[in-house]
Amino acid sequence: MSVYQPTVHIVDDDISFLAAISRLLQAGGFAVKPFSSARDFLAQRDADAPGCVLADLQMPGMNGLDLQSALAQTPNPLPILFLTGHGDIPSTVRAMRGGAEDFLEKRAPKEKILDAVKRSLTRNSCERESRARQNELRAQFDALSKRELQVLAHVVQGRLNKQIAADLGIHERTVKLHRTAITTKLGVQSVAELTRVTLQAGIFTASKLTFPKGQ
Amino acid sequence: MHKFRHAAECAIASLALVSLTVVCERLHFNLTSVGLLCVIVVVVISRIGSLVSSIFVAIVAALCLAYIAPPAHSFRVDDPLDYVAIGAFLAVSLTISELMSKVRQHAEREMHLLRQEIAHVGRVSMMGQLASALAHEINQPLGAILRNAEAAELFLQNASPDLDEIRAILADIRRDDQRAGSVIDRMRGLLKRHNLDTRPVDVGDLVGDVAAIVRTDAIARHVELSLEVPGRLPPVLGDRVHVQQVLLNLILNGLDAMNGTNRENRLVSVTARLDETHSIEIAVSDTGHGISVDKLQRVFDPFFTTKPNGMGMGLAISRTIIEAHGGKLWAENKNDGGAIFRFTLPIAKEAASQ
Repeated sequence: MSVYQPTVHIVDDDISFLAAISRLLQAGGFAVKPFSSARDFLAQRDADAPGCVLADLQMPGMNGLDLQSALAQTPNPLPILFLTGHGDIPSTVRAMRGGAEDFLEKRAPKEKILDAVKRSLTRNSCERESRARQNELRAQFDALSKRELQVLAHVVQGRLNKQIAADLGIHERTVKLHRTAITTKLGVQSVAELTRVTLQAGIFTASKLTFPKGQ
Repeated sequence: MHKFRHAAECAIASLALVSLTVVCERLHFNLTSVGLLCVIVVVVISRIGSLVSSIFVAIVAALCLAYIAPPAHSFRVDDPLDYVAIGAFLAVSLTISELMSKVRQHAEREMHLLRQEIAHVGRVSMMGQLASALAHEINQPLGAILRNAEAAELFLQNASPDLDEIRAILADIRRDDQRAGSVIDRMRGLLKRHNLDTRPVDVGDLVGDVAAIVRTDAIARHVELSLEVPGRLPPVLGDRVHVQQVLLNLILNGLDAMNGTNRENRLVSVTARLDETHSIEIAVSDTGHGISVDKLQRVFDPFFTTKPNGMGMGLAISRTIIEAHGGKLWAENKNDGGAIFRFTLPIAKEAASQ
């Protein structure tokens, strides 16, 4: 699917550890890209590349946790693995809450590190696939007009045409026409399928799917 | 400096003895009382002055007794008992002053040892604070060594391993081993029991070594550490370990001072310069809350502390060390917040005469 090979981006300010861990992962069969600071990584990384990040938690300037939050704001957030000389509890908790893939000691057994990297690469490729699927689905929804989207929101909530017509202040027959247009454009056969596709594409947020109060 | 002091002591004591005997002679004191007073003067001098000056003063006292004190006669005495009396006086006063100076030397030695012992305790407790940072500092090269060795093992499993790569790995392993070793050496140097050993020390090396020790700790606390030491400063005359101890103490205090301040603005800077009096002045400043004016002096008092777990000995020890080097250590507040500690050290003579 992708033209890129998944890359392990390694970020550590300690040049000699950076070289050593890069060699180990290379020897373990991974493609690696070393960076000696979080800023370098954010500035130089290929924004669309698949892979994962293996970052030192303690770095001068921008540390591992800062990197984690900066990475989370990009359109292609890679899973992040933390390496630490000695992890303290508060930063471990923060890292895990921020969605860290794993937390490894610098002198952890080799197998543990290689496994964790493999796991996060797998996770990244799954995430990328589902992101790609979602994007495809979303593209189909782009064909819908604003009114059709409004009608769709009501339909997936299981509401009757009559109710939709009353809510939107349009004729029931118009609602039926919109529904036909929607099913045709999205190529679905049933209301059940329509609902599934809509949820998968993440078109509506959870709040929009709840009934208005008092009804 | 010392010679001048001895001469002054001798002059003052001689003057005192002459006036004492003259006054006693006028008041018709007997020889025994004058002799006793002279012994007291000699003993007092021997307590505050050196051995040389006390011997000199004892001889002056004997001459005063012989020439001025009653019965007023010159040194042409017929009675051999007079010689015996003067001889006895000399012997007694010199013995007493000798004893006194022995006692004083002993006390000084004790004091000196005690001071070194306290300084050593201070260093050990400082190292205790740094233990986790130092462990990290050693863990780093050890981790690199481990990963390099594992990588080499994997490379060797290839049918035709890249020998250049493996050579590079071995070179790196060797370098990281030295790095871990130097951390341990630095630590051991500071932990060793150690007599004051003053010699010319390069300020840049001194500051650099201390910075290497606290670097990890500073990063963990999100503090930037800046060093500004001009390259052409003459070496200072000092004991490397003790001066490092002072610097370490000041930097660690700086780091502590910024607990709870804004993470964006945490800076400890160490600067060195040649001051107007031709000493080297080293300053450690932080961007913490500073020291309230009433505490600027008291921070140097033993057992005075503002930290919840502090012993209150760090700055007291530091001041003692710097004063033993003939320098000064004092605290100031910066205009834009934060405290600054400055100390001076004398320039090593060899370099100053060049």
